[in-house]
Amino acid sequence: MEPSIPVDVSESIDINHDAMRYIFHNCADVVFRPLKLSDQSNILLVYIEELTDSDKLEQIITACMINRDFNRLTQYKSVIIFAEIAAKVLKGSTAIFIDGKPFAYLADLTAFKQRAIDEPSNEASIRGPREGFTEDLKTNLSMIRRKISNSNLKFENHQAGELTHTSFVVAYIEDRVKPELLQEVRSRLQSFQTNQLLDSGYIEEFIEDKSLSLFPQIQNTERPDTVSSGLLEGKVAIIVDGSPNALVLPMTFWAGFQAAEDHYERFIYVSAVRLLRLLLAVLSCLLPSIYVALTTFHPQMIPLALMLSISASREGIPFPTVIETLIMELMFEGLREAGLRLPKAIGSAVSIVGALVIGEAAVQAGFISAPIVMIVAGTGIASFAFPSYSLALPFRILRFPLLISGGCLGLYGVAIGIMFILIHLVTLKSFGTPYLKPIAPIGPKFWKDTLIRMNKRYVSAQRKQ
Amino acid sequence: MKKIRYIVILLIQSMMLTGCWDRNEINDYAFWIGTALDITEGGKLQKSAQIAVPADFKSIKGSGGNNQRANIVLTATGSSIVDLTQQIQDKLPRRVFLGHRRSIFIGEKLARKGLVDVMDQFTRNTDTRLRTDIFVVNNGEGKDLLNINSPFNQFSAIVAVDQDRFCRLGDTALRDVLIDAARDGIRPSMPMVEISPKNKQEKEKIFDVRSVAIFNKELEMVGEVSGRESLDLFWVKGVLKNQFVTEKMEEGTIALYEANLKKTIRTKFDGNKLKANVKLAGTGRVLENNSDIDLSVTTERIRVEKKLNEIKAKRVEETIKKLQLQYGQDVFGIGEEFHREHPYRWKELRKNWDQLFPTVEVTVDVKLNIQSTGDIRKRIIRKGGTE
Repeated sequence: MEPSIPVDVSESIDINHDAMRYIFHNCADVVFRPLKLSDQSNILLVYIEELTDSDKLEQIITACMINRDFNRLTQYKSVIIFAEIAAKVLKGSTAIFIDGKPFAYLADLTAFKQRAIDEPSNEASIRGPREGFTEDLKTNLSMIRRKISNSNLKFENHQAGELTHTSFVVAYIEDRVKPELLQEVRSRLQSFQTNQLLDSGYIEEFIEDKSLSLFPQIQNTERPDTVSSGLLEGKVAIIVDGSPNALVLPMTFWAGFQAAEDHYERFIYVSAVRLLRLLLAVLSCLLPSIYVALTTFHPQMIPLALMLSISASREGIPFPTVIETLIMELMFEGLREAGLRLPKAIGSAVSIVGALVIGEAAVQAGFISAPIVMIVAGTGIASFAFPSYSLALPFRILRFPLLISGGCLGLYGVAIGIMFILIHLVTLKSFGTPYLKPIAPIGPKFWKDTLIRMNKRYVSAQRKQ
Repeated sequence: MKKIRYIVILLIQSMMLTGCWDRNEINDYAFWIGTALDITEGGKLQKSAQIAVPADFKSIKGSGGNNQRANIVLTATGSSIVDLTQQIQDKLPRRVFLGHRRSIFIGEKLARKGLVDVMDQFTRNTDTRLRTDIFVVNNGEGKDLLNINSPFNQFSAIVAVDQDRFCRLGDTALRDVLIDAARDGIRPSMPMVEISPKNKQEKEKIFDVRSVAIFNKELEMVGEVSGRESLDLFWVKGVLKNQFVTEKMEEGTIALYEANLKKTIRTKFDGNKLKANVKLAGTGRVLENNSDIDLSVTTERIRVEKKLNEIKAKRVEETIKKLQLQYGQDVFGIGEEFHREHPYRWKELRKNWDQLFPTVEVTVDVKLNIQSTGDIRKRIIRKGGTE
């Protein structure tokens, strides 16, 4: 039978001590520190050593013990419920019980070791700020606040995870965000139940519109400037404690093609690069399937000289083109995955082995024709051109069904595949915003900041009119 | 979920049921690059095919294969084109693929006998590319042309296409011939190739494109024009876009490069007579001036222009006259102009256009404009010349 824990803090320090002991039994990191003052009054400090700033703690102890200055403690919140005390202690506060007082002071002396602010490794930029989010929520919030010094920028505190008690913040700018959007976000955040919340990815999966879709409907970023610009556009950001990836919603398809740098670099260059990215995105998805469809179904469509050199390189190749392409694509995806997980030093070796040895050897041995190696390499390069990693994933996967349908039915199959993808994309919505907006349906931002970016001077002049 | 399952099943079925499984690996095709059509001694149709041999193709391994042909010429004899195609297929381990055929060579003998029977098949076969070039082989057989081994390209059929593009004779494709053959007011013409090696190196390597074969209504070849006359022909026909004009005047010869060539033909009825006025225009640059005329003087230039135009007009008139009298075939398309301008009266003309065409009175106006004298520096003046 388990001993009952009193709900409230009692006046007797021994009872409080036992209760706390019971709550934190077998928690080796929780420190119980009873102190006996010179006037025989007892004090109990409960804290987690690794989460506490020991210097500050010592200051308090000296103040209490030597100067007998209990007034100093009154600046801290006094709490009477054990559950609340325990929760706060777990977050890094120090609970101070004083004999004869039916409450505990909770001193926020949180300090823990954390990673320094680093350059965001997955969203590097040539121009613009170099800071990226860390795992600490407060640091992250401070980075955003520094960029938008405005009282309209709101940080709403939330908590989720029945076991983890993870706190997260919903950020928005009050006079920019649409109230319906905010309402929708709040209601979706309240509607899910989960035991754990270890990363922003957990929330993303719970609140996105269609979790069965291949396409990401919520943008994630490591960059405070991306979050800030999203907030200024009236979007909502969710920042989860312990995750360096903030969520920005609603997301449109085109946001995946826009790097933060696009707004810092000169606009003509940016427009050209954006069009290039779109072209590469299409290639990363379609290049293998179109190659297979053309060579096996529609040789009429390839110019004769090219046709002859392709057919010359295919002499004596044992596999059909589809199979050949499939093998190489799988090999490439394997190499990429292996390179990602391996330690950096070995990773580069694997890529050299993969690219040179396997590709070259396969062609030399006559297993694989040379054009396939080029096609697969081209596809691979194209698939790295996405500024958003999460948007690159669906394109990587869709390549395979398209390849198979192209290999079975030729361009007809490729066209069917593209149609299915497009139908899916136009029906997709992210928090009420059509996924392909402002292109389908066409919207006012079409020319300003979608496929190309207009000159800021021109845009702001238009706004004034 | 159930709905999705049904959709997936339906999708898979619809893919399987389409039946258009025409997948074929590229190395299971025999690429048919060029066709030659001839007539044998016995009056039978003979078809030769230039088939690509990819393994010999240059690009396969760095330097090798330079002296190889990369193609093989197969010949079959029979009665119909389709039968001949099948006969050639019988000699090949790969499926014949006509989609990349670049040119068709017709032996002069066959051309003179008539092409109606041969052409019909081209209008039906969906594999035929209408942009395939078509040639008549002067004094020879089409087969010989396929055997030519050009040092520039391993396929003589492709060489002919390229050469046709640069040889000033326009670019006559199968499509043009078929269109002309179907119309009443124009008779088809085709470029001619000729194998006539002038030195040892040219032997079996080089051929000429230099004259034009003229066909009548039954697609029988009736004659040929070459050199300047063939250029005049294509200019009046409206195919030629630019040309080099060299004309001899009293003072010496002047050569021009004329671009933006245009033609307009006006037709009218004068009593019983048919009259046509051909206006030819172009702008040009002087390439060579072997006379003592200083073209930088405007009055001189205008005088020269006028004179050149007169001479040129006379030449073109002569060409038209010659074609009217010698062959009587309207390869210029003057009949089409009558058709366009007098659609109702054309109905009476169309039936006996072949008889009427030689009686048409054609006048020619040429308006060549010297736009640039082409001087880069002061020109060299003949010793003792004026100035």
